[in-house]
Amino acid sequence: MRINNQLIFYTGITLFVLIQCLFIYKGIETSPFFNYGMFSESATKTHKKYYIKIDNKDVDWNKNYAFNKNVLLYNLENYEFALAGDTQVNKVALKRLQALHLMKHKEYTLSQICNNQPIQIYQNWFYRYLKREFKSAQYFEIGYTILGNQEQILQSKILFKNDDERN
Amino acid sequence: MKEISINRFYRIYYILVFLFITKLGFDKLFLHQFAEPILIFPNIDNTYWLFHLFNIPQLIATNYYSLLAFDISLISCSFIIIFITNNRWLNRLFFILYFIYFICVNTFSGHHSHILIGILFGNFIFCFQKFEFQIKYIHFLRYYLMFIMTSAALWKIARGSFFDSQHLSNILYNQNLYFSNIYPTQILSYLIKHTSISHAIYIAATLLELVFAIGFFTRKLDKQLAFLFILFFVMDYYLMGLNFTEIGILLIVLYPIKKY
Repeated sequence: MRINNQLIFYTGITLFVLIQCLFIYKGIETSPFFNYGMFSESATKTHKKYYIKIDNKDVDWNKNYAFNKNVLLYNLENYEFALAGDTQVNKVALKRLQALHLMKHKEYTLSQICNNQPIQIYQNWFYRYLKREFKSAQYFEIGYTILGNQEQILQSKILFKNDDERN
Repeated sequence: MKEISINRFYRIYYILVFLFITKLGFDKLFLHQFAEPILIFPNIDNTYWLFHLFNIPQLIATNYYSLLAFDISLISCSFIIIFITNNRWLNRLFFILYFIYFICVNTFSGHHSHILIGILFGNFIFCFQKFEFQIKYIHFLRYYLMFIMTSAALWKIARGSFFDSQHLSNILYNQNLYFSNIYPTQILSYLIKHTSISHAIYIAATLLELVFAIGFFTRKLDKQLAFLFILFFVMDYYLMGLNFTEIGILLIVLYPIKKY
């Protein structure tokens, strides 16, 4: 019995190490087999900057808000992926389903792992999230600017703002 | 370093876990603080996909009260566990609750963060009934800690960012762009402009990570490695504004445990 327990333990550890090696080789993550790149991916200067205006005033990132600023920014990126149809997730999902001969579950799988609901539902979430702090705010505007090398604004785009219908 | 008993280790570990979980509330990362999240980010991680295919995050995020109930379960379990030291089922329950939380928070925050990994792996120690396996798993985690740091250095070398003089400058520029007025901009602007200095810092950080490879061969330098680990993440905080406090819980596995 003692030997069996030992064997199970060491088999578990060995399997973990082997699977971890496999995912390092593949360069992808499947929890709990993580890759610790820690900012090793090649970085070029990104000139895109999100902004949030509440009642025509820019959100001041120095302040401590009732929402998490990173959550807001990451979800804005995520929202843009949703606008583009979650292309990477879609592509990989189809590839994996095909490899597993599970294409008949395609629709269910994509509905579960992609953001494919009507886009206004996501916009409403941003308002709901911002309302945690700006309870009495009337006008919300979220967008981004693209900056040039001298930090001059080359392009500015409103991703969405509240309209009469939502008010 | 002075040896500690496994009971003491247990207490210290779960007190830290409780504190870190409480901190999540201040970071607005409890699930009920997400205002009934809709956007998901399973990315291409198979484990996240499985959770989503079984509808688990969606079920928890049904409404505000289900999210609140989950958060209360998580924090109360992390508190009770400090005092009930000999119930392995409670440890296993907490492991599962935390794992679900881990998946949900990363799903709804739109980014798969590594900061909560220390607790995820640490919680598994006391899922083992036998003392001898707990000790062995702690030893394994010690190697895992060395792996985290060493592999981070190797990724930087393999991907070529170690040799790219613009790399850190670009990262700082991008981060500064998001939060244009959040950091002491004088230092950052200086580092963004002076790529040779920012590159020197990046090289130093990579070499510091690489030093952890020593930990695979000897335990004698664990104290120094613990210091370097803290130094690395303090610098990370001041330069890049990244708060990796939670991963520091893994430092506890550097403590030798009494074998009786």
